[in-house]
Amino acid sequence: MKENITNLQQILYAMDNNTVLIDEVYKVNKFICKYGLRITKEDAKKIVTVRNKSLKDNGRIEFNKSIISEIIEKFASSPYIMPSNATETFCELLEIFYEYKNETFEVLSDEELIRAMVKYFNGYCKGSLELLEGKALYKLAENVRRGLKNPFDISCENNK
Amino acid sequence: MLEKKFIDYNKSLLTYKEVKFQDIKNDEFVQDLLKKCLKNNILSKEEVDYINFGISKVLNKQLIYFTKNESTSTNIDIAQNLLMSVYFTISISLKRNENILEIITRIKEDSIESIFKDGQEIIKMKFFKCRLILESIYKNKININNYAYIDTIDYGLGTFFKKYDYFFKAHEVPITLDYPLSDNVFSYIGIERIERYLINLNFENKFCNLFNENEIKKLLYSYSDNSEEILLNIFNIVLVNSFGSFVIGKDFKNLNIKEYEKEIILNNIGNHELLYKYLNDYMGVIKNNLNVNDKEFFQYIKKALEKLFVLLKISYKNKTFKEQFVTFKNEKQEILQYKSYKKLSNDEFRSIYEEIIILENVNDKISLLKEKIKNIDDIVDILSSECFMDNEYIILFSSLDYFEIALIIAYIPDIFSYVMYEEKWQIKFNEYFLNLKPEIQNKIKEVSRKISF
Repeated sequence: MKENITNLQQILYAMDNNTVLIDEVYKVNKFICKYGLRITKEDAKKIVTVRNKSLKDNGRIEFNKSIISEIIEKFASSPYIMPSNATETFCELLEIFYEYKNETFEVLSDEELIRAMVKYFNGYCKGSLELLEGKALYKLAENVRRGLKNPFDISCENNK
Repeated sequence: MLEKKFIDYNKSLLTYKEVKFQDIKNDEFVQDLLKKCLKNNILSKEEVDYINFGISKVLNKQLIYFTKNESTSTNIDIAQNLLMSVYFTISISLKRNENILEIITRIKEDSIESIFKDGQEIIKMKFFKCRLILESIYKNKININNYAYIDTIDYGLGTFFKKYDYFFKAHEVPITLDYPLSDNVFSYIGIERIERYLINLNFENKFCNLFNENEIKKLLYSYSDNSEEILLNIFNIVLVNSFGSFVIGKDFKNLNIKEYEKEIILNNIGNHELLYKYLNDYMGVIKNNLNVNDKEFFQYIKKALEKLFVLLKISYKNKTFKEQFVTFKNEKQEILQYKSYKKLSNDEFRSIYEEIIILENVNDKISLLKEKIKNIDDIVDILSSECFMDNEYIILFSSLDYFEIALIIAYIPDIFSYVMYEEKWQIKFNEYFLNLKPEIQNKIKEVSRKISF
């Protein structure tokens, strides 16, 4: 088994390219500048480092393309993201995203999870990452596990 | 250019002879191949990295298919499993070439994706071929009562074709193969394991079909009292006795080796050189008797005989030689006809039941039961009516002689099966019986088998 993991790591090494990823994150500036946000090369490096650590911590691998740009673009219009805290917030959102991909057992697509995160963050959580992680998404994951028809409804009634 | 490469490879292969097709692990073929080739400088680090890159591209595609392109990441266990499937599929294609030189040429010059696709096509063909072999097994199976044999053929193997997922889990075997074969197939994975298992099982059945089914049944019964329940390989047991018969000049189809014949076998083949000669001659006889010209089949028999050769040599040293051959148990089995007393009428039964149930002392209850109830149906009815409490059952069973216990077992043959544990007395009966010494348990069971109602 240990040998298999080593093989997988070799294969993943062949798949992953941090330089390309950093460039990709940096390019998102074209989109977010209209919201007064900006990511420096250093910020991009930091985000990619957080992404790598978070994937490892959550026992996940990324393939095809990275979700970083998608998350940044979807959250950029949020009134709760300021230029001063943007990079930190994007990093934390990325960590929360991978955590809840696991917690929802791969049932939700990336698009569904990000849409839910944006909705809860801007609405119920009013920009609080703690509430987003500890309450809203926790409830969403519970709903998914219970097999509810509409797991995205995390209202009080549904909570009972 | 290509020619030069071939010359280089040849040179490498000659220099590093240890990389042989046969030495590469079956269940981790690609991984082991790359490792060995790298170690022996047949492939450079850059070349291995390039091959890994090709594999990563295929894995990437498989991950996209697996997540239906709705996810950019996945759990590492899922990725690991998909990678194993990719490796296996590639290995199936590479194994078409039976020498390292050809394999290396392909893995370097063809795209990994095309090798992978070729592997998928081969798996589909093998899947189809396996179905045909299974059909043949259904036709050739031996009519004997060994649960593992029956369950594996009638239920297990068929399930494989419903559960196998060649696209995402090509390396998995989604069933358990309970019936053990002479030549096990654990070093194979995925469709290769099933293919190997089916081919081998088919060979074993073909061989066993040379023999009379009743002879095989007697042989197995004589091999073990529990031959129906235990995991055994029918082919091996038949082969040993058949070979024994051949050695002493009897028809090889005669599966009974009498006690005194074991001594003759020992005298005939105690000498190892003679043993080898006998094995070769025996092989010739089998070839003449089977109307098949399948090299692989005879290879299989030969391999089993080689194992037998080693086994007999060891047993000769350990002085257990004679124990390798089975003597049929007495064919005329003693039958104990049970003559029952008349069954009590309902009124009579109720009256005795009421007498027993009001008694407080268990010994009084037992005395009354023994005095008034003689029919086995009535005994079982009384046991079921809960006239006795918990440990009173144990005291009751302890007061019965072993024939009476055997009678109960003969009357309810399924009494030891869990589904029968419906009633308290049956649970207590099992508790009592399992606390007896194993040799006494066997004796009682033996007597119970002879009882006829």
